[in-house]
Amino acid sequence: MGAGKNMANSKLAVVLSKDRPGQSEHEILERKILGGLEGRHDLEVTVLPHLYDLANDGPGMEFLRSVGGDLVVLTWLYPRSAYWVLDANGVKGRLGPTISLAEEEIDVPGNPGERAIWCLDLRNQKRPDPFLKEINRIASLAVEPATVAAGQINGRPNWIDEPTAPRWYPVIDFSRCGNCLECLNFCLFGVFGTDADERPIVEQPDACRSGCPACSRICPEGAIMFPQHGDPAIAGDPRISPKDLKLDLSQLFRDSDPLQIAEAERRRALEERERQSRQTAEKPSELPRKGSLDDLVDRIDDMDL
Amino acid sequence: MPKPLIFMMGRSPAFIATDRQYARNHMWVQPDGAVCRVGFSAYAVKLLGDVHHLAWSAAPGRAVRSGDPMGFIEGSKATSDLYCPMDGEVAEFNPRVLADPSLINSNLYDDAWLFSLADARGPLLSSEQYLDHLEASWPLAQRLLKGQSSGRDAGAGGKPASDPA
Ligand code: SF4
Ligand code: SF4
Repeated sequence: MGAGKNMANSKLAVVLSKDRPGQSEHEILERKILGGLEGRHDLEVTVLPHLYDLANDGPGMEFLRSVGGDLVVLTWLYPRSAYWVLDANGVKGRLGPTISLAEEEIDVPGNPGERAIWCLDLRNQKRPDPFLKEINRIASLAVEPATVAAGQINGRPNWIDEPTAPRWYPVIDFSRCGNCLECLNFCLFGVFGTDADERPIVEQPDACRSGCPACSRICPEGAIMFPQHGDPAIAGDPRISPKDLKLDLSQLFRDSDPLQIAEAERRRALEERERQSRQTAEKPSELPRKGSLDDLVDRIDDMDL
Repeated sequence: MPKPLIFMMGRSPAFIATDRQYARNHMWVQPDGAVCRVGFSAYAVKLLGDVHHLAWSAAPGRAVRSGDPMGFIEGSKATSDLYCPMDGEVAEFNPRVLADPSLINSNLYDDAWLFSLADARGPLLSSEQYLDHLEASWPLAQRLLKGQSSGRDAGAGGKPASDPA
């Protein structure tokens, strides 16, 4: 590493966050982009697993937090969700306009002195060229040179192989959030909490029920995103405001018999409790989530469906 | 096919096929060899309008319970999360419908089955019972839908559009 003492400080950090495994077309695009970036001494290229699946205290997020200067992030996510996933993990900055996010679509109040985070949505284009062109444009703009973690090889991507599994949890857009705390009151699984300023935070992301986007529909500001949800409005498309949402038939299409819903929930919660008490067999006195079970049954009884 | 039953949604008829059973969540269920095929009832399709987007979040082979979230659908009039109507195991998602969700509008009782379940268990309704269920729940469905379209700008007040979890 001796020769390039100052080199590391004059590079732009480019992060390619891979899709979840199993999408061969996506892997091909990723490989082509990496190929196109190979040998570039003005860039520090890092490859990470899917951004949404990274653990807060894992090496991937640790690396992202260590980047001090401008940051280009290529992900299989809307730029808005990528940005707020980073924000929730302590990677802060202002959102830069890119081919994936026009200037007028940026509703995050950034101050111009802050370093920029440029998010590119890999789902937008099938070919690598538009992304490579865009990285060139950003590299020429990035006046504040990136300060990156030491220990990287020039011209070659740095792979961070964090083991990940598909996760499912809400991501809050604080440029929209009105701090009403409806989400906190609504979720029965204790996913939300508050920070020192009484703002909502996603405290227990992995307690969220897989596939359930219910709280994003109750948030009056449309501030809660589920980046992997099939509805663009819920996954973080900035062009769709919550007011444009169509009728939501989820309640009708779930089950219209309250007794059956209550019974299914009760059965599921009981099984969960059994499973958990089996796991903590040494301390059988601790029956987890008793409170939330009662709460849940009460709330279902309240529903007038 | 024997003569279908008719449910009037306002002035618009929904034809309920009598050769199969129904779940309360507006899906039909029909045995097909060792599995059960599941599709949307005409009532559900009418509420959705022209379907153009369908995505599954569950995977084949996964054990599912009645009420589990399975995916998402979007039509010209409405969107919805999709829930499993019975306990069982996901056998297959219909690839033709995934490739062309508009099949749901053109051929909802045959080609446009949505998925199949192995070892399917749970209470089902006959077509007559389903018709009764539609009649009984229609006022409530209307209230729910009207509430959404008029309450859209009202913000936080009122019932959540979807029950928790
Ligand atoms: S419901 Fe929405 S606006 Fe209200 S606190 Fe939660 S995220 Fe913020
Ligand atoms: S999706 Fe459901 S379980 Fe997850 S945070 Fe929202 S309300 Fe809670």
